Formats: sequence, C-alpha cells, structure tokens
Amino acid sequence: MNNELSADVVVIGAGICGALLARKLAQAGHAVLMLESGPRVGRAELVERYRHSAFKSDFMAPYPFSEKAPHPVFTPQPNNYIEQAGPHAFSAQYIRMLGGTSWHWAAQMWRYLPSDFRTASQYGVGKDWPISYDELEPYYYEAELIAGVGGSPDTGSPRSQPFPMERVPASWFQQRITERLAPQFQVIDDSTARNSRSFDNRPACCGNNNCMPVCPIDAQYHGGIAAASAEAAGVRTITEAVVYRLEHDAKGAIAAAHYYDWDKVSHRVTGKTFVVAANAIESARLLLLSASDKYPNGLANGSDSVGRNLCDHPAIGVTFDVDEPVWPGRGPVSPCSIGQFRDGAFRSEHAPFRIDISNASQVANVTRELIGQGYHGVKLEGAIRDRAARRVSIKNALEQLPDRNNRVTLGEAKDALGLPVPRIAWDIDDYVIKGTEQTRRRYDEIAAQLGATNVKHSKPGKFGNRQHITGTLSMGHDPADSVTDAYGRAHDHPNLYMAGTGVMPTVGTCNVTLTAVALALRTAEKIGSELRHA
Amino acid sequence: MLDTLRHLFLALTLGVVCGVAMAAPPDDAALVERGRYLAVAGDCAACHTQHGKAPFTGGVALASPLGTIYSTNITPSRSAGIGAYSLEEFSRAVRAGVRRDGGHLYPAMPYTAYARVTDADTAALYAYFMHGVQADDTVPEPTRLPFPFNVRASMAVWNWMFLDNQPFEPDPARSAEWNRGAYLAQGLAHCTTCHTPRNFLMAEKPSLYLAGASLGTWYAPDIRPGKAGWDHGNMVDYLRTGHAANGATAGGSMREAIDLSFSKMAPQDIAAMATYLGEIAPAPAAPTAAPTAAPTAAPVPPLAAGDIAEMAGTLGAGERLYRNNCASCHQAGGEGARGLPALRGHPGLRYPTADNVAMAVLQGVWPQAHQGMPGFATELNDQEIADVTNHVMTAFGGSAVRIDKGRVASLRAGGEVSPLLLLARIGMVAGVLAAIALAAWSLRRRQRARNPGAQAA
Amino acid sequence: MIPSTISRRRALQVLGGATLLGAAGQLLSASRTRIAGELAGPGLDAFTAVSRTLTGKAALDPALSLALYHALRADAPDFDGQMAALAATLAQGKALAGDKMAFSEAQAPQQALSQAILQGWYLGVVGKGSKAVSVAFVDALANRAVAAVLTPPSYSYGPCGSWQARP
Repeated sequence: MNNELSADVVVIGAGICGALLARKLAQAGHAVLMLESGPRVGRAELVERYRHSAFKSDFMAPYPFSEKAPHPVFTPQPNNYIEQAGPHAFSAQYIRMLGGTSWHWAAQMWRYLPSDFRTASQYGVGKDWPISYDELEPYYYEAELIAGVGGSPDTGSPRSQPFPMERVPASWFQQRITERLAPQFQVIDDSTARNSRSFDNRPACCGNNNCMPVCPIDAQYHGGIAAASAEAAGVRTITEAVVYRLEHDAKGAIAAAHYYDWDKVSHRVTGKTFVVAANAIESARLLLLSASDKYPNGLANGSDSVGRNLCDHPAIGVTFDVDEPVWPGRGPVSPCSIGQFRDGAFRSEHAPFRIDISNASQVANVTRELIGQGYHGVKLEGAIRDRAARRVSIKNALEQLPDRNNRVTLGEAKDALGLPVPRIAWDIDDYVIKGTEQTRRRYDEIAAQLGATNVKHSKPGKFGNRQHITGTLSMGHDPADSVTDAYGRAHDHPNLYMAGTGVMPTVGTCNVTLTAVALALRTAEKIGSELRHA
Repeated sequence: MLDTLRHLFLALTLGVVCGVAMAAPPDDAALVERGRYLAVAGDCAACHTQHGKAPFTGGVALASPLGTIYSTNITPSRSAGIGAYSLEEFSRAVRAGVRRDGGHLYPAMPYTAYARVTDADTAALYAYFMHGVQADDTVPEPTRLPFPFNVRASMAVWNWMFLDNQPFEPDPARSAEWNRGAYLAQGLAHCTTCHTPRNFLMAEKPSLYLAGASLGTWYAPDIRPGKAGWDHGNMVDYLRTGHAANGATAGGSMREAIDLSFSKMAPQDIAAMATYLGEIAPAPAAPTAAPTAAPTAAPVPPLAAGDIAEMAGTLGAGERLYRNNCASCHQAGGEGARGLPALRGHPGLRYPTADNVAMAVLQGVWPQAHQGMPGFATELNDQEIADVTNHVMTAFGGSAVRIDKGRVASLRAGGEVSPLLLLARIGMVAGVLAAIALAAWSLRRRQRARNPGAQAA
Repeated sequence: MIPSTISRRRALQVLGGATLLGAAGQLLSASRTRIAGELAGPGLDAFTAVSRTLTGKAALDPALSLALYHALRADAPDFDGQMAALAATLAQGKALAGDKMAFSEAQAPQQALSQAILQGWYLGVVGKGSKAVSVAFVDALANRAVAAVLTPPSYSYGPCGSWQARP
C-alpha cells in the first residue's frame, strides 16, 4: 500500500457527470479528489488519430486503448472485452479516459418529458421515478447553462427559462427535409450543447461535420471540457488510477477506495463521501468487485439490483436516396429529429421512439457501396457525387422497458490488472419489437414523401445500441428494488453516492446525458449539505 | 444645427469666461447624441467600461510596462466620477491630461491625441458624459504605479518635453474628406497612440509617425501609405469589419477597437480616415529606409500536397502542430474556407515580427459578433507555440522572421518588463549618492576653510 | 490504433519523405533524386497505368500513386506480378466495358484487386482488417470529387451558419 491520499469527497470516474459533480462541490469549498482509470489525452492527438485511422466510421478508433483501463474495441478486430451472455449482443461503446465517453458524442442534450418520469402510473408499463420532472427542472437549466444548450422549444418538455444558446442555423439539407416532410412530420432542431456563438472560451460551430468521433475545435460541450473546468475549480485529479475495490468499515460506511496505478501499485484513498461515477457498466462492476464477507453480493446490493435493469435505446435504421440533391455533410452531424412519436396513449402498447435524421457526410459510405457494387471509371465518380448528394440516413431510439434479467455481472475472463471483466445479458422485449413495426411504417412514409429510391431498412431482428446505458444503479423509494434513493445515495451505505446514467430507472424517449448531469448536480447539492451538517 | 451649436458654444464660452461652470442644457438631445457618437469615435468605452459592468465606471486594467494603470469612473457621479467637472475642467483633462484637482493623467489616457479635438466637439462630449451617461457611484481600483512613477508631477515635465497641444488645423491644400479623416485619425481615433513607435521615455517619435510599434505583446503595424494590398477599399472594409479582401484580419486591441468604435462609425467618416491614411505627407525628417519595413519576403511556397506526408508521419514538429490544431479551420494548405481566414498570404505574415501570430495562437481572436478563434495557451507550451508560429510564418508567409520560445514565454506573461523602472531607481539612487557626496565634499571644503592646517581624515 | 506492419510503415515513411521533398523542396536535390530513383520503375508505371484505366482518369496525383503503390506492394509481395496479369485482363476490354465490372468467376481475385485499388484511390485506405492503413484522406479521390460542396470531416465548412445556403 502506498501514500495515503485523502479528500472530503472522492469521485471515481472523470466523465461529464463525475466532473460536473466534482466541480460543483469544489466551487462550494469542499476538498475533492477525482480518480480516473484512463489517461489524459489532448484533443489534437485525437484529431490526428481520427485522420490517420483506416476505420473512420468506428467512433472508438481515435481513442487510445489502454490495457490497464480497458474498454470495448471494435476495429480492426473486436477485443471482446465485455463477455456477451446474449441473446442480443450489447455492443457497448465507452471511453475510459479523462472526460469519458461524451468526447465522441453529438452533444444531444434533451430533457425527458414529464411522462417519462411516471410511465407506470400513466401507461401501466415500466417504472415510476422517485422524483418528478418539476423537481428536476431547475437542475436541467443549471446543466444547460454550463454546457450552452440550444434547440427548438417544441419538445414537449416545459421550460421555466429559455434556452441559453441560440440554435445553430439549419443547413440546406435540414431545411429541405423539413419542408418536404411537413405537415405530417414535424422536424425540429435538436437540443444540443453546440455553440452558435463564442461561449465559454470556445468558438462557434464551423461545420467540421465530425462531432462523432471528435470535434476538432470544441464547439460542442463534452466531458473533456467538464473535466478541465473541474480542475480549474480546484478538483485534484489523478489519472491512470484504476479503482478496484471500495473498502467499508464494520458499520457499512465506505472508508476508502483502493486503486491500482498503471504499474499495478496499489494506493488507498480515504474520504468522507464517495461517489461512483464510472459509467453504468463499470460502476456496477466496481460495486460487484467490492464484495466482502459482510456484503457477499457486492456493495449497495441489498436489493440484488446492482447491474440489473440494464437498458439502452435499441435502434433500427433506414437509408434511402431522395429524389433531389440535398447534400448532407454541411454543418453538425445530428441537427434535427422527429419527436412526435415520443409520447401518447400508445405507450401502454408499444415502445415510443425518437427519429434522428443524420447530417453526417455520406461520401465514404456511398463510395464503399459503389466500389463494392463494381462501379469504376468515370461513372464511379459521377455516382459518388450523385449518391452523396441524395443519401439520407435515419435511425431511431426506442424506449426499452427495465427487465431484471438484462444485467451486468462479473465475467470469467480477467483484464490486464487481474480484475474480472464485465459480462452482459441482454434481450429485446415485445414492447420494443412492436415499436419497431411502427417505426418501419413511419420510415416508409418518410421515404415516400421524399420521393426516395433504394430504400434499405436495417436487418429485421437486429438492433444497434445507442449507448444510452441506464438502470444498473436504479434510484427508487423502495430499498428492496432499487440501489439508490432519489438523490443517488446508496440505500445501504449513507456516505456512498452514484452519478451517471446508471441511476436512471428508465431510459426514456431521448438521449440521457442531460438528465444524468442534472441528477448529478442535484446529488452534488445533497452531498454538500450533508457535509455542512455533519 | 450648426447655428444651434454656434450659439451653444458662445454661451458656453461666456459661461466659462464668467467663471460659471455651466453644463449643456439637458434637453439638447442633438448635442448629447453628437457627443455619444464622438465618444464612440474616441473609443472611450474600450478603457473606461469593464466587460459586463455599468458603462464608463472604469476599473479596466491597462497593462503598461511600468505597471497596471486602472481607468477612472467618467460617469456623471459626483462622488466617484466627473459629475463635478465644468466644461473647462473636462476639456483640460481630455485635451491636456490634467485632472480637476490639478493632478496629471498618465498618457495611457491618450490626451496627447485628443489635444486635436475641437472646442465644439469637446463641448458635445461633455454634454454626452453629463447627460447621456448614467451616473454610477462605483469607485474603481486606484492606480498605484511603483515609485517614482507614482509621482504624477513628473508628468508635467514629460508634457513640457513632449506634448504637442496644438489643436487641429485643416490643410487648405487637401480635400474636405482628407481633412475630416485627418482630424478623426489624429484626434479621437488616436491611431498614433498605438501605431507610432516611442522613444526611451515613451514619447512618440514624430519622424516615425504611424511606422509601427509593439504594444508589449501585440504589434501595431506600419500603416503609412504604399503597402501592397492596402487600397482605399480594403482599408474601409478592414476598419468596418476587421476583414478585407487582401486577407487581413484584426486581432487583439485592434479587433476590440473595430468592435467598439470603427464598426459603429458613419461610413463617410471611415472613408475619410482611409483617404487620409492613403495620402499622409512624408514627415520632414523621415529616413529614406523605413526602419520597420519587413525583410523582403520570399514568394509564398506553392500549396503543399494534401496529407500523404501527414499519414506517413513525416511532418516536422511545427507542421504537425499546425495540422492537428489549426488545419480544421484554416485548412491543410492554409487556404481558409468560405470566410474562415486564409493564412496563406496573410498580410500579418509580412510584419517584421511574428508576435501577432503567437498572440493569436495564445489568446485567440474574439470578435464581439461572428466567428471567433480559440486560444491555445493552456494546450500548447512555449516551444510548441514557437514551432507552429514559425511554421505559419514560413509556409504561408514566406517570411524569414522567427520567434523563439523565450519570446513566447514573455508574450504569455504580458510582455517584457520595461527597463525604465529599474533605470529610474538606479538613477535616483545614483542621484542621492551624488547629492550625499556633494554635500560631504562641500562640508569638507568648509571645514578646511575654517581649519587650514587640518589634514584630511 | 494505427495498425500496420513495420515494413509498411517504413515504406510510407520513405515515400512520405519523398512527397515532402516534392512539396516543400527543402532537401538537397541530390537526396531527392536518390529517393525518387529508389521508387521509380516499371512496377510503379504499371500500377499507374492500371489505375488510370480503373479510375478513368488520364491524370492522377503522382504522389498519391507512389504512396498507394508502396502500400499495396507491402501488402502483397507479388503485387508487380498481379499488376501485369491485371493489365493483360483489362486490355482484353471485357471487364470494364459496362458501368459495373464484369470479371469472370475465375477472375474473381482480379476483381477483388481492382476494387482494392479503387478503394485506395477513392478512400485513401489500403488493406483490410489489422493490415488496413490510411494513406491519404484529404487527397482521396472521393473527397476531391465532392470538394466543391463538402469539406472532408474534421475540416471546417465555414463560419457558423455558412451551410444554410443551397449548395
């Protein structure tokens, strides 16, 4: 054991939620230490790695793989870090690095709908949250102010204040699609943390069209910016620190976090309060790894719910060629979507969904396709221009209902530090399958309205993962079937809190980061008041 | 309008002559508006309004080589601002650098340029500051320069040596437009304050009027006529927007001056200043070779092949930094994109210093509206900033001018410390020692005079 | 993760250096001549000729041709031999007669090779799986083909909002 470290609050995981929670506590005057398993990597290096990558459509490719802090890798070969128990593979993508996974997102920061918090009482499916939209609303706004969020106000999520950022102007592509799909489909501007003016010492978006995997100019907010702001606020940060066990005392209070540095030397960190914010999969893994004689099923697991109720937004997609040149690829990658199928009485019967219309450049996709089809010579180049101008790619986000059998456990294999890898069991329910039938109908209607040809739906029975990973640390009123209370505090350990998407009991009808950040800010406030009154 | 002004002016003059401190009638909205416009032309806000604070309440920190000078509250507050000032006192402060209490202003306040402003315009400014600005009792941070520069009386000597307080005289041989431009440029727009190099005691060198000067960090270039690419149209566009067809882009203090002042001035006034700048008569003792001329630039190298060398990992350090940090906006070959500035052939790369490139890299460029450029001070170290700056100067400017990491460190810290402080103190110590020695010698002389036989001890 | 064999990396470095020479003219012309000499030859000429046929372009970027040739050769030791055979097949005129390639079943490897060459030119990527390497990005022909309307991802289109206008 080496050098004793200590702080009022020890935060495990320096992603967007952990970092903003840490920052808020440091700003309130508390001593905060943030432990990050991965390395510190600069944006310039990520941009270089992207440009040099032979697999530019793999958003994980620019992010260095660290043997000591492993994450899933897909190209050139999958590393099978996560053991898949099935029946559906849960192809999680997350980044273990200072700043976490939101380095490679499209900055979608949506609020849940009020009914997303009470689907059980309203629609007889899913779960009710232990808090309401109204209770979270002020924290939604706090998060939006930090990140600079703007978008269409017609989202169904009531606002007490207008968006702090003006929306990014719509590209010709978005304008045309919006025009042609109206009035049956209302295409709206996404709620995104993307600068349309200089803000936070970061410039406005310049249309690098590379939001995923990395914005070269930080025009969009992400966890790297959150981590930097946490450090600027006085949060002490140690990277390459892999927490492998939380130690508790005889009463069950968390006494210390033990981490390996990358030379596999163990360090012990003490603190008054501990926050696990290491993403929904790795946080559950850590709690299970911390099993002891007193807690043989892992920490915070009196309910046997840690790792369970794993949800994502399963996704199906469609591509087609519109009957006029619309030229996706100018401006941000995810600018607009259709939200009118997020809510309604039908939620008792089938999954609601949000439809994302991509503005990513289709040049590489159509080129691969055309070469694969045997095109060559002058025709090839003409066809590239023609298809790149007319190719539209759409995917959705279906709400999956929480199911205890969908879960994260510890696998058989061990990583380079000798720690059991995560193992995931995941299935898709009928609720989602019925939702996909509805989705396909809508996709066909959209294609028809755009005079589309070459319509290709994604393979039936196959689902993509949107990486909106929730449920494994669910909050709830009842300690018998939830891991934390409404503040993210572990029922079983009063000085252990959790932050991140894992605490969210349902996955809702939109991207989950804004909700997770709002919850984390609320948790930070709770921790602060507990420390003051201690 | 003119008649009203003449009458007003007469009334004011009489008021002054009668010893009556008289403010402009509060209902003369036209005079106040004219004063507001002149305050924009003089860019009072740049120094007297802190970002996000009430207008003209001062407290803006102006880094000078002698220490930090804080601007004053010039709202009509009687306790914290200039509310008690008469027109005469206001005029003396603005045009002669003397406060109401008789104390001298540092020439960080460009009274040396404002000395050109006419009486009528001074009256309008006074009307604006008394009746167009909200009184605010905020007391700003006081200026405390290190001894001996905190002795403001020394400014009286400096002024006696250097201040040319002749009011503006139009040149009858020039057009009305040129004269208007000369009046504005020499006076309210105070171009010379930044663009004219200064002597050892920090006074402007008249023979090098507008020949270019370092402000400690940013470099204000040579803006005398005859520079390639700077015709009337480009100068007008540049002053109005900070961009011009010759590729120029404004940064640092000039960017701020454009945002706060030039972009808000009447087009005909901007055109007049451009006319003046295009036709400045050579100064009487101008040397034949301008000392601040850039070295003859080699032609800009042709556009490099896209990124094959980059993929192969064979780029030099500076170019690699450029590709990974700068190329997304400025593009791989420095050609810019649809209004994102081109670096290739940028006029700023023809300066005799690379300071401005390094400053843009350190701080970024942040126009009030429109696209900004981020700074890299926290992401790149001094060597990296030097490398990427030198790459830009060479590859896109064909320039032989370089910067080293020591200079980058100095820029990062706000510029070199002026030797004046140290020398002044050495000079004072030397002066005191000399006085002591003189007194001792004089005393000994008297002693010997009284005791002719005594030996020196 | 930039997977490549050592020889492939070396090949790229050599030709990268040559490209740098060509672009910036910084090294002595003696070195320039030596490296160009190392790379030039009938193999490169055959590859360039086949590339012209496959892309339908009379003029191809010589630096990219060099870079692709070396990457492809590092990937397949008998590449020059394969080029000769492919050139002969293409000379027969049937394979590229239509819009889409029409190789016989027996010629399937030659079709795959043709497509690999086109992938190199158009996407700047040579090889598959762990042997895949990015040889060029901005210069890749697909990006050049749409350059009037799009900039390649990770390069800015223009100031915020400039994408509103119809392309």
